[in-house]
Amino acid sequence: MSRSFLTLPPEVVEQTLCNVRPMDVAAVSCTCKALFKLIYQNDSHIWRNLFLQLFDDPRRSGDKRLPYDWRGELQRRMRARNIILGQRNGQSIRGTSAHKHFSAIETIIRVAFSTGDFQTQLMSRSMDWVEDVMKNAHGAGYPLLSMMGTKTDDKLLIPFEYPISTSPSEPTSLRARLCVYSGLSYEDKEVILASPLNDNNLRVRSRALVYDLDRYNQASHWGPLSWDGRRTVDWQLLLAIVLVISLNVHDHVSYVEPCLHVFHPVGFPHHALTLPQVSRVEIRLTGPVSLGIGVVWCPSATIAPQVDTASRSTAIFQDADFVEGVHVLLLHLEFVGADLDAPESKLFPDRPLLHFSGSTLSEKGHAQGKVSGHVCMTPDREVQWTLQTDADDGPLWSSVGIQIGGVGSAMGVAGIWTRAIHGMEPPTGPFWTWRLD
Amino acid sequence: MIVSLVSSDGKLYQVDEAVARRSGVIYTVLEDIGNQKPIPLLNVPSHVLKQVIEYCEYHRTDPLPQDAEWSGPARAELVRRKAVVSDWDKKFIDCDQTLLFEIIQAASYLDIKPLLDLGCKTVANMMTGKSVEDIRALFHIENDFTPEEETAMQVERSEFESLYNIMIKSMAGGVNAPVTSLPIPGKARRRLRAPHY
Repeated sequence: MSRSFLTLPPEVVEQTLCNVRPMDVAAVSCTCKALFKLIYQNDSHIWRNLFLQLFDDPRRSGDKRLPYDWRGELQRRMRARNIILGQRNGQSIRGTSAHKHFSAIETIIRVAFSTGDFQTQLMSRSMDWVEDVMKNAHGAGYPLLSMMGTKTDDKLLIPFEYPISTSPSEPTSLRARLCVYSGLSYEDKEVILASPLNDNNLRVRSRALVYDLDRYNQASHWGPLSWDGRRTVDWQLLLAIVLVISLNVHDHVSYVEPCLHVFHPVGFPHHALTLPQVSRVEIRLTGPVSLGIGVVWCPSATIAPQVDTASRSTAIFQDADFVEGVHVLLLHLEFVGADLDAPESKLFPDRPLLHFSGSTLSEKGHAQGKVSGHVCMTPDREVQWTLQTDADDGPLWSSVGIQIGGVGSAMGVAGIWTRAIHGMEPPTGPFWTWRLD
Repeated sequence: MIVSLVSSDGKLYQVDEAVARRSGVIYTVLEDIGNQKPIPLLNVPSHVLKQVIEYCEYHRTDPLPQDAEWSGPARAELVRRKAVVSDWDKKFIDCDQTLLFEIIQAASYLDIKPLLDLGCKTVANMMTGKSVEDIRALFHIENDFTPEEETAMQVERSEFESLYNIMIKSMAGGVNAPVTSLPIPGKARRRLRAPHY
């Protein structure tokens, strides 16, 4: 009896296709109706297999949706990748509708957040995929910059609108968010440092945003939060903070060596918001928590820059002699208690507001100043940290930051510090904390 | 101990029990009824059975999925072997298409997992990078789609082209190579060294 591929038992054909690369599976499905039916109308066995060849198992990162739509999700991710990379193939951003582009970035962020268990898994297929997409976007090797739109020789398109609009468009916000997660790559850094200090320079723009002191008020909780008082994250400002600090870290590389991974090319280190085995609250309760906090700030009021609010001029930041001071300090924090009655706790009952206290440490580990604060969720499901640093004669600095990525993320918390007694004159500056172990 | 196997065309083959037990089906038969009578293999013609026996002879000392020792280090070894197709296996499976499919069918029927894997991988490799037309020609598949249906499918396909490119990169160690066997690229090494998360 003559045998051919189609006379094999269906389960054997299926097993064969599990060994075939996805694009080839697509080709096989186009050969005849029987195979098309087998591939597209069968159960998700083949698709699950293809999916798991490329991505982390979503079931391990807390995605409990069962049955999981392997085929739909795989196709969605490939579509997102094609849209992002489509720009490289000569198609402009206009070629893809804004809506499609928007959902593509959203998908990529989702993939970045669906990586597996950060403690047991050092390699993540999903992360490799995201990095690959980001790196290949525009083919220029400047993932961060290329995500922002087009780039010409002398002009880097800015990931945020400036002057910043009070209600940034969703795609702008989303792009900025993706850039925050991805961090600054080595190539990004090189390009930014080499480009002229003009209005289009990313560093100039970032500083202009960060040091726009009008930005920080009651409505924005004196932090990188929205202007309208809704306490949602202002991703554009957060990105500007990350950029300002990253570039400062570069300037002071020997000084801030432990923080070098700020330059982790296409960062995304384990952004999954899942915790292994234990519940979120339990982890938080097991103190003491040690946090290493790197603060980048202007050391004295005299050089604390302030944007000319009338003209929104960035001239001050275009001066090559303009420098920020960098200050690194260690922080030791301990969990104090959960406040289940706080209004912030009502948002997500399983993630109540948590109080902590601690101290800033000298290099030798001696306690210096007192620190207290709390962690809570923002309405848009981000984690907000609020810290107050005390001096002998009362509160000194107040810092409000947003946790970038998951609980296990090395990216830490980025935000803004201001005087604890608001209404006083500057200084104000960005900070970025990293967790040390 | 010798086991007698009878092919579908009535030919008698005598093989060592260890060799026969490579087949999950024969393993069960031997456990249930023993080796007193020849075992008829109604779906396997002699020219295929000959090949299958040759494969089983060569792999007679490999751990069996049924064995208790298949867990632990033996299993890791199996997984490793699974990822790398040995030269002997490559040569063995390098035969004409009809025989290849017959061997796959027999491996499926007799429940010889490693041989089935080998066959499936070989067929999968034959399809790699081929166009729809190539695949049709390769497996003598008749195109029964209407032109309209074909156009509609092209859209679906294009989405996989880029996927394919990454696959080539990430699967450099061979189809389904475990991630651990891949060379760790620079960026990943940096990630491994990064501070604790």
